[in-house]
Amino acid sequence: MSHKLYGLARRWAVIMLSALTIVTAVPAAAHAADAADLVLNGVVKKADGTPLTDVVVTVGIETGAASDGTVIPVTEVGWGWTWADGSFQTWIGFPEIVQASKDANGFVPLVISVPGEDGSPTYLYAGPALMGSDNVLRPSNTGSNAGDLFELALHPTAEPSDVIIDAGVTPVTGIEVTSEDKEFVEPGTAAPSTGYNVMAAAAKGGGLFQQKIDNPHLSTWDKSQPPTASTHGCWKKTGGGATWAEVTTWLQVKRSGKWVTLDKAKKSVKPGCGSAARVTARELCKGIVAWSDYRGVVDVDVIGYLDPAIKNYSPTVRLWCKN
Amino acid sequence: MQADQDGTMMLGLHGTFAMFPWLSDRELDDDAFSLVQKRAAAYGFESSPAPRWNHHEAGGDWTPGGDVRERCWLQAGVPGDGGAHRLPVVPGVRVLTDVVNRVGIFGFTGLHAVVPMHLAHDIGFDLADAADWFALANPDAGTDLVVTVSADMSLDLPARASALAGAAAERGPARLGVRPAEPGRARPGLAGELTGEMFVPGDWNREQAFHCRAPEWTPDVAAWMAEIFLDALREVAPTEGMALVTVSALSGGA
Repeated sequence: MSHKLYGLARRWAVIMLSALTIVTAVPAAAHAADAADLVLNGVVKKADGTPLTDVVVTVGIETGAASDGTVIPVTEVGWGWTWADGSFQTWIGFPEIVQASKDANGFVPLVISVPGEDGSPTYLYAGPALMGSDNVLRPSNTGSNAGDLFELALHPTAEPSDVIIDAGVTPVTGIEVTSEDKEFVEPGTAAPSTGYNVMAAAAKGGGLFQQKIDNPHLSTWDKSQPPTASTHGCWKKTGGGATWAEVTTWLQVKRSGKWVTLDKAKKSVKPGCGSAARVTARELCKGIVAWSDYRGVVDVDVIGYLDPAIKNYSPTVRLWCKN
Repeated sequence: MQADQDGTMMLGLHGTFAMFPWLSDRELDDDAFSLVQKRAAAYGFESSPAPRWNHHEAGGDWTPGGDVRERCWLQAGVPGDGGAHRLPVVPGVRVLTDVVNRVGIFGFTGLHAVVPMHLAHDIGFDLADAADWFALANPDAGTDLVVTVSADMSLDLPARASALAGAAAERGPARLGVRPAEPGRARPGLAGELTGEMFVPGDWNREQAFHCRAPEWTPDVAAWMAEIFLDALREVAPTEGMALVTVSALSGGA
């Protein structure tokens, strides 16, 4: 990161929250930014003025609302972690998404969030931001968010380079932790998206990618096998140089209110979800006259590129397949 | 949580197949699974927040040859949406047709559909529209079909064969000519094993076959025929379980 940009980026913002619960997660180093990056620096404080530490701060562009109004699909364009003093630096991998979303009046539908107590995003800011001729995004001075302070500074030499496709993005809910028993979010905290889940993130230079997990289902492909619950994980991408990713798929069942992993599979695969590009987790049914609740989980680590440590969860699916 | 009112649907296209020569010697990254998913996405069938179906499995036997095999099939989770949408039989068959025609020369001989009857709703008006649609077919393209319907044995479909034939006739064109068939060579256009048949185990089900005549012979017509008989079953022998419908050409097949 150049000193010049760093100077630009050090426009600290203070975002006050009316109420927020701390979610514990492992801190990670802030991203370095280069000349083509958009950077948001800020400090997150709770209502009592104490810093909010060790949480993922996500910056996104609102791309639409779900029909039931409960989920706001957001194209994630950046993420970072808060330090002990509540400060964070969020690196924006695709400033052109921000530029492309600008309407005729210069407004950009900006969303800045952290995971709330139930895992769903709590919005620090969700509303229009005005992009001025100086390539700095600032909140509009209208509505309930009037008075919030933040600035997103776009480097003057940055130019749009990729075509960005709306990938139907769900809000970020993943929390990275390192110990095995805390690897997954607690039951009920993952925000499910319908159908074939899609999560998009800007893998720096690797293109826009999706990690996909289908709903656990009774498998029919191998007719010689007894009934099997299975789920497929894979990834897709648009543009960029990434060609391989390590895909991990979990099949989990709920027992006594807790998610238990039945199978975990991990492979390095190309994108596209083709014949050699799927990672299947499966488990034989112990009976088919009683049901169990299942979910699939996928994590995609794009090899050689930076990507967010976020898992995607399928909805909970009830199958006549006891486990 | 996804409700257990959701259902599972399986569809399969059967026939002869020859891979395009420019593909036959290549190791393809894609297979039926990914092509079905990609084609369904192209039509928007899997788009959030209200997908028509959730992709589960897909496959196909692309062994070249003139023998009848299950050339492309899919398994999908169909959201229980309180009747907002009809079962996506026609869209599913469209996707399968696109896929198999994308990779080779396909001679269509039969269709099978395993559907969750608790998601079957009255589609009478849609079927009437479909009759108008297919009335535009070449008058010389008429094809004799055999259709089988299988469902839980407690429904005793053979005892209701006349009622089913009558209900199907009401839903089709005047020349459909539905009549119950005797047990026998009921699935001439289908492979021996049908994907998803495990969802309607033979010892739990009873099959009834019918003869009829369709205006032409395409996967689209077969999908329409399948829906005619599924809607007839819904009315004559309501069930919350799974049903299997097969449609085979007896003559004039492509």
